[in-house]
Amino acid sequence: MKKKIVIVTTFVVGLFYFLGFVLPPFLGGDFDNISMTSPCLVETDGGYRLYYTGTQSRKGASEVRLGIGLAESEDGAPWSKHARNALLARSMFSSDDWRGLSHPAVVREPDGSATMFYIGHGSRVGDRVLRATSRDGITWRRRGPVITPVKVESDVSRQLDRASITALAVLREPGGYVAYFSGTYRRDERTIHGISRATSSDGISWDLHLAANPVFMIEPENGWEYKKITDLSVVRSGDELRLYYAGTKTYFLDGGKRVVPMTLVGLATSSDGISWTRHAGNPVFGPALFERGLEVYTRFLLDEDAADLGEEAESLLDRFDALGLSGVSVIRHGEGYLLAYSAVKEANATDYRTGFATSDDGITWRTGATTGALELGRAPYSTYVSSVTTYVSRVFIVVGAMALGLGLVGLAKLHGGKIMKRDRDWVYSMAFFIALAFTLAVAFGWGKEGTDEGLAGRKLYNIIYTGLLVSFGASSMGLLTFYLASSSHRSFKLKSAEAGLMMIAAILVLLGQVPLGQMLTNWMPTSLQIQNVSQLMSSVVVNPAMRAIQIGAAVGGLVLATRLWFSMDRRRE
Amino acid sequence: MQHADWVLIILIALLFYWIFTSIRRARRGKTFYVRRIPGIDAIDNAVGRATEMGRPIVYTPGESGVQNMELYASLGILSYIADRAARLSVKLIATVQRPETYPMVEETIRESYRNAERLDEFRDEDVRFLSQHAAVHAMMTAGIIENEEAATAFFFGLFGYQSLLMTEPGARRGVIQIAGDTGVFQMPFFIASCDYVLIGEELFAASAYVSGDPTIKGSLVAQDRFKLVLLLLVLVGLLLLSAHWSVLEESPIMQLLRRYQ
Repeated sequence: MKKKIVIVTTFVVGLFYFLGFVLPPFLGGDFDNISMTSPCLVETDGGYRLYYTGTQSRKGASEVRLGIGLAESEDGAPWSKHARNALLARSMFSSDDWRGLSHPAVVREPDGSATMFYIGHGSRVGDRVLRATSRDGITWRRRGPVITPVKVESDVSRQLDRASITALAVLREPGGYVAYFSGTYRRDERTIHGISRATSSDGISWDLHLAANPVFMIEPENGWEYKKITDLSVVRSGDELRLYYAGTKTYFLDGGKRVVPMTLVGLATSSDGISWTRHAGNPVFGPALFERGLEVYTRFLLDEDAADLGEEAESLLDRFDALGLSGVSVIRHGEGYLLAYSAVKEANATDYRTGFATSDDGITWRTGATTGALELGRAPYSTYVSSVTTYVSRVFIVVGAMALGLGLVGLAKLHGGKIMKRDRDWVYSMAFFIALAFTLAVAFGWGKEGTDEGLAGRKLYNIIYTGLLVSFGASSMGLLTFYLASSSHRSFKLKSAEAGLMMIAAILVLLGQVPLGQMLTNWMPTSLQIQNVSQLMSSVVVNPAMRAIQIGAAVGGLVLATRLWFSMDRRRE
Repeated sequence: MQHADWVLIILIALLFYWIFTSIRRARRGKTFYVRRIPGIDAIDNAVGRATEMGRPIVYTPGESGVQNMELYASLGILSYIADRAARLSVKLIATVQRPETYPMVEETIRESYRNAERLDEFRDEDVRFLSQHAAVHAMMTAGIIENEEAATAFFFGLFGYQSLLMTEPGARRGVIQIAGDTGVFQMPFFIASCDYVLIGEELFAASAYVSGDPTIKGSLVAQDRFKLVLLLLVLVGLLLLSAHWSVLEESPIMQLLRRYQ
């Protein structure tokens, strides 16, 4: 009976853990169930298309996936999401975007096809711009990376940090493509956000104009764009280029405990795409409450209670875009402009939805019920398994604590018996009971943190822990050094061919670590110098061998776990 | 908690299939060849040596906890050693670092003594929880090996930097020491200071090997097949990454699979 209970319990607990591993906490749901950001508006023959970054989570907030989706509209409203979303999801085979992809910048080609430039996440060299092509703007084919951030070592004032392309906009001009992308730069020993310009005739080979970039930098003096550029959009209006950029400032309130970001959209104009002039009335667009003016909006962000908004402004707080903003995209819309933006109700929230605004002059914008908003995708269904396994894990913690008590009882029996029988070294067994009584007294007399109550106990704890235990650990590490020397001496004896091989490898690695080895071989070709040979041995010989052992051990563990789960391991009779 | 994607689910299903089919074949009478591992063969000799010398055996699973598979492999080997020790009337001292493993180690030894019909020779005091502190446990285990004048010491499980602290004093005194660990970083220390070492998966194979159950040996076949699949996957992955194979990436089957990954 007892055996059967053990078998059934093992199977049930194992089943919960297995299901918790195989099933994520959530299943199903759309690719954009968490947020929709970095919009990109494109005009087509039959209306408008909106490409955007969708964020999905099936496994909790710690693991999110980025993909690119599409929404369509005939006249700027209403909008409907495409049935085949996500059009592009994270790659399975490419190292360039296996973590996800974002910030689509889609341009129409003269032959009616479309080219998409987007930021791929996952490459070792950092986030970089990738290219995809499509005949219909729906089915896309990846074409690989085209722009990689570079580090200009010789000129630190214009250093573009690796892995720092944070937003992207591309224009299709008669001579080719012009890309604008934001990133971080070093200026006057500070890291600052700016926008670079790159040009290409075919969309594949890009001239990064390293000497001329960045063409646009955030102005720390402008309070609202102090921190960074989260998104940008460039639109051509006749001979003039218009740059709409989302600038962010971060407020640290209550001594840094509360962080409140404030993102607003600024406008700059240029005739050549290189020299930009900020609009005098910046910022030109922001969350709903910004309609009441920058001062009211800022005051409310800093202290909700102090800001007296009035009834009319209170209604703005009910809108999905009340307080936070992230992305922006602008295109021509008839004689005026159409703007798509990602916004949230609370300044610190992350469930960005997409809203739309229209304008006659590109400066004064109209939002609200007339343009509507795109809602987030369907949420996934909970599988409830993860929460069950969490409870099962808690049971193990309790069992572990009880076992500690059992261990203590065992030790007490061992040392108590020695003392009672006056066995050899019974005096040392007293140390166990003295130490136990000592630490228990400290624990019970701990007192309240931040007060003088129990201060003596805490000082005593420091003596036991820092003074004795940590010192003891350090001493044993010291002893380890001598043991290392003696065991190495024993191993290096040439007892067999394997020992000889090990000795040669050890000598090579040791010489590779010290200047003497380098001095002895610096006359040789670089690849034969001892430090390089040593490095080669570590990376080409040792690493694969270690990984092979680890893979073998992992598989062995898996097979043993399966045997235990199904109680296949029989006891020897 | 980590969660599987579809690739892992397929691999696990494959592994399960191989484990169950190979065990079924073994139960139908198929015998599988398992190569001899010197470290496992040496266990009997080491126990025999302790018997001849009339000195105790020391055993420790190191810092393996209930969540580590190394503990269960170690308990399998401990069960075998305890059985041999009970039949030959050799004192077996087991030291424990993780408190939650204390009752498991104690019960494993007790059951082996019971199976050997020597339960009266089992003493609770010979299963010793020493300390949760790795260095303290290591030093005390080394102390027990010295003070009790052990003839043989076994270190099977998971070990940290303290491995050499435990094994070097025994090596100096000429104690026969056999170790098994899945971690690669302690391996050199064990190799330098022990007579035999089970490397990586050999620890898991050992528990099947000593169980004497031919059906369990069948699972080792599944283990080897699965490793072969992983090796092939590594090679295919290398080729795909090197070729930037975007054709496969955009194929309908991949798009379908991606939706459910």
